[in-house]
Amino acid sequence: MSQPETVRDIASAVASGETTATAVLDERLARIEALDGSLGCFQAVREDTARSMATDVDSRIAAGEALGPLAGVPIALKDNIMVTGEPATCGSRILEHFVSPYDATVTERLRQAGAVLLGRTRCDEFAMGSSTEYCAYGPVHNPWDPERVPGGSSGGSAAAVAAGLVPCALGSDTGGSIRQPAAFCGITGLKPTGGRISRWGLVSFAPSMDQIGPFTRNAADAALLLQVMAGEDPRDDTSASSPGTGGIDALQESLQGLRIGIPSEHLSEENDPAINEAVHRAADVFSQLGCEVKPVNLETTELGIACYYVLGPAEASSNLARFDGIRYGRRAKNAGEGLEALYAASRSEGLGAEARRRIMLGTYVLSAGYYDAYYKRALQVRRLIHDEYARIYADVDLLLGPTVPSVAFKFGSHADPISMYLCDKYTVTANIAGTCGISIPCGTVDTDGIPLPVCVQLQGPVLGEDTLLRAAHQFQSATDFHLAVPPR
Amino acid sequence: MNAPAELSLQQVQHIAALAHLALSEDEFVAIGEDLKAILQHVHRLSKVDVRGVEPMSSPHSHCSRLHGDIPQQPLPVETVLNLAPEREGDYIAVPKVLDGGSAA
Repeated sequence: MSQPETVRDIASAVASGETTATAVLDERLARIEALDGSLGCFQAVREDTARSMATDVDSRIAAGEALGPLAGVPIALKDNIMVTGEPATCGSRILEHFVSPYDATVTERLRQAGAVLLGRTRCDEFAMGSSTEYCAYGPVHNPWDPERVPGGSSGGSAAAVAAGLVPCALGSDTGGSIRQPAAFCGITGLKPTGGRISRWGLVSFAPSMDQIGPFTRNAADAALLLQVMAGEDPRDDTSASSPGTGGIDALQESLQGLRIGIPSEHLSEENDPAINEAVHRAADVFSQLGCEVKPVNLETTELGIACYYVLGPAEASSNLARFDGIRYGRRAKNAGEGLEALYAASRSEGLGAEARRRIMLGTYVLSAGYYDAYYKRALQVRRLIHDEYARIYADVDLLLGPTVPSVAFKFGSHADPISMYLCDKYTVTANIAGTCGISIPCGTVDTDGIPLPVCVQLQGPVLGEDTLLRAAHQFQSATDFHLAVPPR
Repeated sequence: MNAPAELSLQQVQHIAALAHLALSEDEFVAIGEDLKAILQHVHRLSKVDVRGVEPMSSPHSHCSRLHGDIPQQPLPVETVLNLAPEREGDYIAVPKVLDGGSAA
C-alpha cells in the first residue's frame, strides 16, 4: 500500500489507524535505500532508533492513548542540531567523533509530538555555504538534476524532502540556508522570525541571525511543525515569549485586502528571466485571491551581502573559537610544543576552507584598528536595513520577490566566494533584520532539457508567521506548483 | 575603512595568529586574495551615511531578557569529561602551559 506523502496526511492516517507508523517508516527507509546512495542527503540514517520510536507510537495507538500532532511522522534533522547520544558533525571533520550530550529544544519538542527521528542530513561545514559543496563528508546532489547542487547550507534536508525520502526535515537559516535550498529543490522552506524557535542545541554560527525552521511539501505542514517547535524556552534568552502561532487553524481566512509589496530592487535584470517571470506569475495569483499587489522600494537590498559578510563572520569567528581541541572535538596528534601550537594545529586540521575563510574575515573585522570601520559600521547599516523593513511593513503586510537570483547551479560553477555569497542577496536581509520569510515553488523552467524548479519568496514582519503562512497556504490551495516532484 | 588592496601578507599572518590557525605559505596567499575580494565588496558600506545611527548588535529586542540566577542541574561530569579528546582521571589533559613544555 502506498503511504501518504504530507506531514498532515501521515499524522492523520496513523492516528485513525488507516496505516501504522511502522508502515510509513518502512516505505521511507526503502526509498532511502533505493535513492540516497546517489543523492547523498543523509550523514546518518538511524534505522534502529527510528524503528523503536515508530513501534512505540503504534503500540500506544493500539492501547488507545492520545498522541501528539506528529505521531508517526518521520523527520530528518540537519547535522548541526543536537540529539542525545548521536554525533552532530556540522559537516566538519573537527566534530567527526563528537557525541551530543543532550537534546536540542526542538528535538525534545519533536519527540513530545510523536515524530520519528529518522536521521541526520548533510550540510555545508558549520552551515556556511550555499551549495552543500563545503560538507567535509561528501556532496549532496539535487534530485531534479544530479549534476546540480541542492543549495545550502541545509542541502541534505532540502534534497531529502524533495526526493520524498522524508515528508519533512529541519534546517537552520542564518542568511538563507533554508529558503535558498528549498528554492533549488522545489519545496517549501520557512525561516521563522529570529527568536521564534529556541536555538538551544543548535550549534551556533551567528546567533543574532541563526534560526531553525522546517522543510516541507507545503505551507500547511510548515505551520504545523512551527506550532510544535515555537515558543519560549528558558534555556534560550532570545526565544520569544509572545503568544505562539495559530498553526493550521490560522491558515483558512481569505486574503481579501491583504497588501503585498514587490521590491523593485528584487526584480533585477541580473536574475534569470524565469525567476522574474515566476514573481509576476505569483503576483497574478495573489491579485486573483483578492490581494492588493504593488511595487515598493527596498533600497538597502544592495547592502545586504556586504553587511552580512561582516556580521556573520564576526560572530562566527567568536563562536568557532571554542573548537580548539581541548574540551571536545578533534585534537591534533603531532602539534608540536605547547598549548598555542595545539590549538592552531587542531583547528587547521579540523576546519575546512570556507570555515577558515570566515574565521579569518571575522577576526580581521573585529581586530584593533578595523573594528569601527567594519564591525561597528555594519551594525549601523543593520539598523538602517531593520528600520527600512519596519517602515515598509507599516505600508504592506508582506513582501513578494525571488528567493534566489537563479535556478540550481552546477557543481564547481561558483568556486569564487563572492559569486557563492551573492546567491543569498534576497534572503540575508531578513536574517539581518530578524524578520520571517518562506520560499514556495512557483513552476519549473526547462534547462538543458531538464525541468528545474523556480520559487518565490514571501517575507513578513517580526512574528508575522501566521499571515505569511496563510498567504503561502492560500497560494498553494489555488495552484499546484508545490505538487511538482523531481523525475524518479 | 582602508582600501582592501592594502591587506599585506604580514597582516594575513597576523590575523591567522589571532584566529589560532596554522596555514601554509600557499594558503596565506590564497586566503589573502579571497579576503581582498570580499573586502572589496564590503567596501560599499563605507559609502553609506551612518551619522547618528545607533549600532544594532541584535534584532532580538522583541524577545531578549535576563533570566533569574537559579541553579540548574548541570550535565553529568562523567559525560562532559568523556567528550574530551584526552583525559587523566577527572581532568582534561592539555600540554604544559607555563614553560612551553612537552605535550600531555
